Amino acid sequence: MSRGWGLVLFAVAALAFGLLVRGPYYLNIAVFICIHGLVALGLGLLMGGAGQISLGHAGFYGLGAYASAILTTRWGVNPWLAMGLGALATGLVAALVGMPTLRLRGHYLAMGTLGLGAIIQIVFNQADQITEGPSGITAIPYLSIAGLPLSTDHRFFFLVWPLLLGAMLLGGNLLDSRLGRALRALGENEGAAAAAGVDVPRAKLAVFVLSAVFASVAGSLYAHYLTYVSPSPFGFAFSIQLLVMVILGGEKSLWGPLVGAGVLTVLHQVLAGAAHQFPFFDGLETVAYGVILVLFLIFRPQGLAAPLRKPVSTSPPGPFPGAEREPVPQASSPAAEIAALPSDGSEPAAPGVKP
Amino acid sequence: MEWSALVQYVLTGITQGAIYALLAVGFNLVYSATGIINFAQGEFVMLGGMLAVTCYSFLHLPLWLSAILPIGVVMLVGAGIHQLAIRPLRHAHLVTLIMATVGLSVALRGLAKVLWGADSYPLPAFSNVDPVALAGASVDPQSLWVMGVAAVTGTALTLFFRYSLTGRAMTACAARPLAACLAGIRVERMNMWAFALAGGVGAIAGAVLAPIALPSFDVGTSLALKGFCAAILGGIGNNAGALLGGLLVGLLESLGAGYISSGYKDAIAFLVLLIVLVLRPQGLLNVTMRRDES
Amino acid sequence: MISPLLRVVGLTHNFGGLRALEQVTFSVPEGAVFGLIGPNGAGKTTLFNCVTGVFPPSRGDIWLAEVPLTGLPPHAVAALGISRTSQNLRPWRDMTVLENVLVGCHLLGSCGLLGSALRLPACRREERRLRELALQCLERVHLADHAHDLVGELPLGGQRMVELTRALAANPRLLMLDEPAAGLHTRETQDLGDLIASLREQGLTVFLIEHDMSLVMSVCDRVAVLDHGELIAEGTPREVQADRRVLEAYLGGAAE
Repeated sequence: MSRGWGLVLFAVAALAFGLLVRGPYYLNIAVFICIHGLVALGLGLLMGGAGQISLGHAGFYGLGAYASAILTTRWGVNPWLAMGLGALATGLVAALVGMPTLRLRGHYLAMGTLGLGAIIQIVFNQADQITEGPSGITAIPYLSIAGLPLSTDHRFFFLVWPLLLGAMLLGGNLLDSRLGRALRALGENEGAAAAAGVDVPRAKLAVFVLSAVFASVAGSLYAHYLTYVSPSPFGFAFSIQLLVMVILGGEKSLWGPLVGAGVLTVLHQVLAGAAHQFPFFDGLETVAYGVILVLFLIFRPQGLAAPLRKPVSTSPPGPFPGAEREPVPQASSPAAEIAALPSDGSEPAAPGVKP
Repeated sequence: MEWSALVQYVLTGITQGAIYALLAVGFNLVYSATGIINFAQGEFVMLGGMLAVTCYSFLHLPLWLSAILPIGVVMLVGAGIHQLAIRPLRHAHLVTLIMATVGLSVALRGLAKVLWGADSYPLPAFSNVDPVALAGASVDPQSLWVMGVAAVTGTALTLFFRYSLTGRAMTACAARPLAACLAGIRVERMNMWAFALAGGVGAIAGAVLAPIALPSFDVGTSLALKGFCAAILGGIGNNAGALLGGLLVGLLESLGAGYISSGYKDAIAFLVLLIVLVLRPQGLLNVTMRRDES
Repeated sequence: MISPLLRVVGLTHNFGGLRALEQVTFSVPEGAVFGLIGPNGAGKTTLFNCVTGVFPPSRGDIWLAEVPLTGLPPHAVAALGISRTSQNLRPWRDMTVLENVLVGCHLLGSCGLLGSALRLPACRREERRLRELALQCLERVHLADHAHDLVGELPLGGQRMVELTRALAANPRLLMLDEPAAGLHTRETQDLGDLIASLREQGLTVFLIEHDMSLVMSVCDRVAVLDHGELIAEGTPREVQADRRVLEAYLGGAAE
């Protein structure tokens, strides 16, 4: 049960951090790692589980933040209820975009979420009757537990890390379940998963909606933590940062997105600090994100959090029929691709459009 | 309804649409060859504009040379991107490749910010003549340049693919990579050419757009997103579709801004994208969906 | 007369202008091992794909017992009791042997997103039941010792076995195998033949595409021959072997 131990370790570390560290600077970073980690976790489930990308997760994050901000400041809705309503609405929006795009093969979800994310940010900016436009919504109330307002970094930290832990538990359970296996199976080979009876579009939709809900809850947390929201953090740039987090950490592991969120959030702080002193650092930070992303894709596609080596099987190799044979290599060279072409009159399943 | 206003909106729409069409063509070039949606396409346009400005204002080159020189440079950038980042990933999953172009786009944008700062730079119009009056509206001569250059670029690419050896080899690669490989065509090299051409088309768009919309390091993203909407609307991989999609997106945007709301102008392209994905995901001009994945 | 389990009537399929299948009609009797043979490019895999819903046929109808399959998506076809293996649809290499078989058990469970994420008692029970079932399947094919190995680390013969076990785990009415012996050597092919024979003993209907003629002749009750998308012969292995058109098709195919 290594995953269980990992979660316990995380809980102990977070608890110790919360008890020992008092400086608001570090607590602030830790809170943001947890909030970003929650969004990245959801996105990681989508990417690692279903093999789909979303280019609009910042939009879902923003929907949660604005739902909380608007419901609590305008109508005095209880913040917790607002968080739930925001998650529900975000889930519905995600389902509306996911349903048509996930029916199709290929990366139509990426395109759909790209458009959706862009529209969401434009609405935040333009619908100033409701959203106060570019200047944003202020005086969002704090969350409170049993009458205690979570108004300090310290108190808030003790809300976000258990929530993140809970979300990781849910994610871990999901990956180990019937649906989780179906998702991993279709991420590797959609046709084979369908042949095994997996309703591929439905499974993808389920995990996509879940990941949007995670993002929305994280957005609500953001709104109640800063007590202020404006459109700028919820744009395409943040969607890309989220992708970088997931890939940096490794989308195939449950821990990967959190590790990525941690590294990138700290990196952002460090580089932003440096940019204060040396203005040209401002652009270099962006360069760094891009270069890190490409380098990781090329040299460490499994991400930081994945084990260095594949787990070695514990049982000795047994008597298979033909155990002396090597596994077939995956079709990668042109020759192998030719060999893998269906020998039948059927159209080649993949025209091999890889560069 | 005022006719002159309508004409003005239509002219603006066509000009903007021509730029989107060029971006869509850039997307198509890389997509047809490799199946990759190249998120760095907008940065090619940005680089084209910024380099043109640099050549003219800082190196004091003549305007015509300042507009042409960046084309070659950005073609090299495109080819370099392919060699450094795309080629090493040739065995990777398509998602990985798309992510790599996202990373490249971010890196190029950051690099531009380091080199040129956050300012916008002006470039003079290509022809120093007064606006032409047309049905009560005025036509900016640079708009004519944009439309003309887009038309010439589209025609030149069509001729290139139909008649030149490299172009025909690229077409063969895109249609049947295995067969092309068996026929001795070097698929990798053709893919490099696709990236280089996409860079060139991007630079052309950037240079011709610069006098209308001052280039700055961050113009690429929104242009790329709109151009992408145009490509999907027309049918990705289809160059006639790119033209149609670009013009439609440009016109809808301009008319929407004029008659509905200028604030939501930028949302129009994305709304079109979502509608197309729901109703006709293969785009207006493609008959069937391309099966680009196993 | 044994009632047919699978009926294919007038099946025609085009790829663009290319005609892959032309008016194919046959039926697979319940409880039989039915072989489909033919030269390369004859349309065998296309036929499998049409039956399992990978692509809808251009024309024609397909029935499983009395249920029409035409136009159903693959997962719905699987839910009606058709399991298949395929040359291209390899087992999931990044998952363990047990997990592969558990995916095969997908249709035997019903837990959704919330139940799984929250580990509701019903879902835990279901998970335990499926695991036991999958382990039983693995024991039957002597793979239980490898349950926690990654499939990608197994030799080809082992991977093929995992795939078969995965297909069988769903407890199908009809098992469709696409070239199960491809890449196996003689010994393994014999084992495969024995396995198919024992499945037949248990009353399972098997429909297979195969190039290995000795396997086809030894395990099949009936054989159909496709050539250029048309059904040119159908009968017992002996009848088909003696058919003049079949010989021509194969010789012609060899001469090409």
